[in-house]
Amino acid sequence: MPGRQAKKPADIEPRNDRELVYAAREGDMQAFDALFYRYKDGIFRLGLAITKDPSHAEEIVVDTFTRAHRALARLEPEGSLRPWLYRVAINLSYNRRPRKGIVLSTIEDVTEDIMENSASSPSSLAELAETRRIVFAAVETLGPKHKIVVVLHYLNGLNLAEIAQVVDCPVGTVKSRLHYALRRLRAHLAAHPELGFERDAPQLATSQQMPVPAAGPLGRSDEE
Amino acid sequence: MSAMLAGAASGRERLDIQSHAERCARCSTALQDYVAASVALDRAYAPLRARTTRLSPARVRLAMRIPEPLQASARFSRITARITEFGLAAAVTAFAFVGSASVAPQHTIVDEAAVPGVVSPTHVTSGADDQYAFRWLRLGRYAPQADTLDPAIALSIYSDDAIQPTKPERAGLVR
Repeated sequence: MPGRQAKKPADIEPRNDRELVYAAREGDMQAFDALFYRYKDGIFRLGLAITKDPSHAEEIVVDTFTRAHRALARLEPEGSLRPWLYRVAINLSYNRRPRKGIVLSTIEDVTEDIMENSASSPSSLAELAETRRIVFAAVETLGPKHKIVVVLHYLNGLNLAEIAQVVDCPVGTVKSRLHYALRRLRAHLAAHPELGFERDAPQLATSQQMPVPAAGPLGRSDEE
Repeated sequence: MSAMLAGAASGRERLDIQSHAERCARCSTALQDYVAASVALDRAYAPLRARTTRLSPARVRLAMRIPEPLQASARFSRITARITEFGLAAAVTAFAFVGSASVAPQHTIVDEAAVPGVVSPTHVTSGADDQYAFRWLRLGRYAPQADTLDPAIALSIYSDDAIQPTKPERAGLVR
């Protein structure tokens, strides 16, 4: 039915997560579908960042919501169901991450199809791809605890309090991990002066440019 | 600084950090480093933030073996289809049995009490043979065996082939 395909349940669903969970517990599958459409993309990106394989990421989405459906009877979300879903997705993702020495597909490959469609020049695209490769290599050197904080913050757009709920630790710990990750990344990027990450880069020191990263992905929500 | 970069710092805290960074060279350098790294991370993950999946909740139901919820109209049409199928099957069955009943051999009722000198109750015997009473169900096979067997085409183990067997040819060696 074309009418059913056109509307997105996540866009028109006014109920919050708690109401949807209670409705799904009573057997309302449309409420469960609304939860699915609300969080599937965020979980997919999270799984993709950890496993680097889109098919694995889709399986993680399905497995996460399968577990959510089984746990409906005991789920009591305070506000949002996202911390619980993301925690399950992270555990599933680390169970499915590629073993050492086995490269399924790199995350750079995933972004190439998007880059091909952009209107930038080939040289700028190549420079961007190289920067991305170096940044992802630096992120890969981080431990799982630090890496997940970076992914949740910069990819999924969660703020510090939401990250603390997902990883189940105090906000101060999240700040510390993010600080460590940024310091490590900066040290890694300093080894590549050709990319403009010299230590004395004056263009980023002005006060007008400082809030830029905070206005990027940080205020975003996965519920769009 | 991490809180400021994460957007968790208030406006006053942000101003305090910036004002301190203007006076302290070490903190200014550290802030530059963090901003640069944060911008690099933001740009690196930007294409991935646009990634979506076209998964449907039906995949979850399939994984959990939950049947797809049916609308009332679909449920009504399925019930109607089942009733129609059942009625059609019953009609075909009735037609087959009623139609075949007309060609079934009729039983002959012999009242032996009418025969003088024989003291026996009335009983029913089949018309020709008991086996014919059941064979009518096998369509196309209702006939005595003598009618279906033609002695002219019967094979005998003492046929000419058995008496004079042909020599097996050794293919290829003759040439």
